[in-house]
Amino acid sequence: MELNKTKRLLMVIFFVVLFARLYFAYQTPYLENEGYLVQRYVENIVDTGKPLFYDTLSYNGREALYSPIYHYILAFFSLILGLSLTLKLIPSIFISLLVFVVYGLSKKIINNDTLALFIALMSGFIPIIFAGTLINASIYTLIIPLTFYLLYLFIDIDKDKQIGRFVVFSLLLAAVHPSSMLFSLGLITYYLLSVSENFKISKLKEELIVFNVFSTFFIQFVIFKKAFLSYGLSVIWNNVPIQIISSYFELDLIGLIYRVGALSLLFGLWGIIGGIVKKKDKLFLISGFIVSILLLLWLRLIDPRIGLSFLSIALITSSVLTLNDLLSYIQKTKIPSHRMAFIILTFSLFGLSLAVPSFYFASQHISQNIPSDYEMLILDWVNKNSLPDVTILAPLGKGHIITAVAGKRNVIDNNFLFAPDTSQRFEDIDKIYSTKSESEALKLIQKYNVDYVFIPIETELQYGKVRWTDDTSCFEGLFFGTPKVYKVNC
Amino acid sequence: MLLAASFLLLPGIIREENTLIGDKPYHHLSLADKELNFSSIKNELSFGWSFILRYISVKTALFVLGLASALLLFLNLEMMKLNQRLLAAGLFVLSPAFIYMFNVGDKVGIAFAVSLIISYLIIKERYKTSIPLFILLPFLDVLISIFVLIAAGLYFIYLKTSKSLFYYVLLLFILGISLFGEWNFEFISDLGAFIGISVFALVFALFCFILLWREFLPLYGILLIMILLSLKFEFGIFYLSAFISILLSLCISKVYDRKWESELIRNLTILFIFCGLLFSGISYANRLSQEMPNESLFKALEILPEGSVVFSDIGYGNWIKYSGKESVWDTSGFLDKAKERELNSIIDSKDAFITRQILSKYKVDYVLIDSNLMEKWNERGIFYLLDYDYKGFRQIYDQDGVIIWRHFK
Repeated sequence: MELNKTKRLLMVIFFVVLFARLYFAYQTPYLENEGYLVQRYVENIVDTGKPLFYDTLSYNGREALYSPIYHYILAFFSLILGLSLTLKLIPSIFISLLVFVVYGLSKKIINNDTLALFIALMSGFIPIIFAGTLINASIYTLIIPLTFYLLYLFIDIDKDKQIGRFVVFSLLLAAVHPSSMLFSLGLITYYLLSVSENFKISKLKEELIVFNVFSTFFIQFVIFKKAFLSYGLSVIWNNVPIQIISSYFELDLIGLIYRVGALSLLFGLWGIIGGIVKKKDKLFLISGFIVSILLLLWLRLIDPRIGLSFLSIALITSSVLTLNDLLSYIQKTKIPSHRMAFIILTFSLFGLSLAVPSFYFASQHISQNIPSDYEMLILDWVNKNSLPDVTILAPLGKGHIITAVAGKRNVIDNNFLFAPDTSQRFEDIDKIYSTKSESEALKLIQKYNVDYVFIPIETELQYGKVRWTDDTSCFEGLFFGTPKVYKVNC
Repeated sequence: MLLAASFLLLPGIIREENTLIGDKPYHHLSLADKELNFSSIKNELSFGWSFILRYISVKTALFVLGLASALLLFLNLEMMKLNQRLLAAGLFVLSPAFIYMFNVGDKVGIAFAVSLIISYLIIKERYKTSIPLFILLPFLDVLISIFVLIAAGLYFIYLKTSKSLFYYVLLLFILGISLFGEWNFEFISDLGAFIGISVFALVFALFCFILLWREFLPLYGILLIMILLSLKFEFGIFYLSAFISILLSLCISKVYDRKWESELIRNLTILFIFCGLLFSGISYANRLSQEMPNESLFKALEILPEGSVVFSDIGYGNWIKYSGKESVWDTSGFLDKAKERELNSIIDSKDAFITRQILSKYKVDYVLIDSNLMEKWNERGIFYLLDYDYKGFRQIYDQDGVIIWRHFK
């Protein structure tokens, strides 16, 4: 009976998280820039049955290197639900499933249903994940729950059935995304941490670590063979333009507190230290994972948004130990009459430190990162009123919207891996928007065979008015609001 | 042997062009056409391979040498168990280094095979029989002969004299390696190196170190020296690959024989390791099969008069020479740094006067550019001059992506 109640509560938590996400996701009918890339990949699968490995629109035509499994999953659902519903609903369901995983992990750490349920609820409202995966159909909505499910399976694995499941999900994770390397690295760090602390880990776990490392390594090499051959070890930096590489991998510590949640950060770190001091195997595993993420963040080998997403879940899971210890301690003190008040206060603060920033960032995210109705109207007009093979010049952040909504070629977008001359293009586009010289702009416009120039408000705020568009003989103004669009006639 | 035969034939089978792979075999073939006297073979100390190519076709020679090397490696490992020996030979055959050695007609393949015969004879204590091979080896590859001589010396010192002397000489050898030659950290084929080892082999060797370091410590010492050698000398990679194959065969058999908690995990892990090694080999064979040159290049060169001087990329030098023309530079032999700088400046310069002056200095009659070079030299000065300097250049050929300009001196 108790178990059923817990299950029911867990289902309620799942639906609360899902509905909160959907509430924000449906504040707009549109997607974020990255979401449009996913939309095109899924559309291509639905239309042709094949993944889009040569993208004729991105960068005026380029090879695309990625694992299409996630896109196939979305394509399958889109056949039933339709594409627009799939792109918002299915990723939200995937990421909401995290509450079950976090519940399971927390339960294994402290064996306390109430606390595990509370932590499961909180895991659904981590600001960086809540806002960051809301309207972009991000692949991380699948990767994050999968990674933590593997941790859940690994934490006290001993049965054949669990081994089989670990093998299947480990291979699936490796086949879906390169972030699977993060899980392998976490396991290696866990092993090293245990050895350094003279902590004996079971032989089966050692074997599973070896299996995971080799299988992940192999699958990643098979999928990204070309990238490894072309970039060598620099593939880690994903061919990001050198002009933005420092900011791309930059970690903002204040932002970290807001986006991960101040109390989950504090309690999580405390839980990790406590776990290591008390030599708790389960905490060693999560510690290994946290240490590997921190190491990658410190060495700037991982995009902070991605690293912090994984880190936040690991921290909130380990904070369950701190909360448990805190409750036990209060019971031993001489203020039992204030116990309930203290618990309510702590839990409320914990909840507020996550939920409030989550909702705030989600609203902010929607208002800032979603294209406006007017922008969509313009792109739709361009789609219907221009030749099919025209190229539209737009800043980096609008690349996927151009290809998906206007259906035209772009000069640059943020799918950098295997894209041609990313640094050069970034520099040229920067020059086009910032220069006052029409001849310089025209030279670069011709270099990339640009037919239309798209000037969003963000670009005007960054560079000021684009002067060379005043030459109406060369640049025919089509739209003059925000954004502006000019047709190149020279 | 079947596996070896497959990997010896694979790049040729999947190759679309009916040409040899890379520029090295063309260098040796162009030498093979010449009379063998020292004045005609400039800067060529090891002309043995070119000499052999006068009598045997490159492909046949490479096929026989490849099979022989796999067999010789197997024979050299008689102190190991049969399954380990077979595994070592098999893993070596899968390595990118083996595929390179016996699919690209470079001189290193034959030198490597001879060095394996020498080591076999030494192991069998037939020292006198090995002497002629020691004498032959410098004619095949000087650097490899020095390495084999040092390795044999170390072996004898280890067996016959005191251990301390062995370590002193070994230290001297390591010091020598560190001092000579230039560092080249590109030695993993899966990460872009043209000649390299498999990344899976390296990772698995490192994993085995964690697992079995107490047992195999001396072997890992040798591995470190071999890696150091490979970072300095290209030929070191071939010996490193052979050594890693041996090390891996020992590791795999140890890992397989260990008591595992889960047999499923053991089998899957071993399977992934084999798949990784196989993948490295196959992807490297595929890469080799797509290497230059193509037939259209030779077809274009055919229209030029014999003995005319052609300017193109340094990598095209041996192909130009093979087709009976003269090249101003090529990748074989020693190239004067000043000359290299001067010729490189032609590619970048938009100054017609300077470009024509340098081209005239080297008596260049033609400039050859193909689609690959157009990509490589994208938007560099030479294209501007070839297009607009009508007094200096005239296009005389444009077919299948190869363009030739006549240079008016």
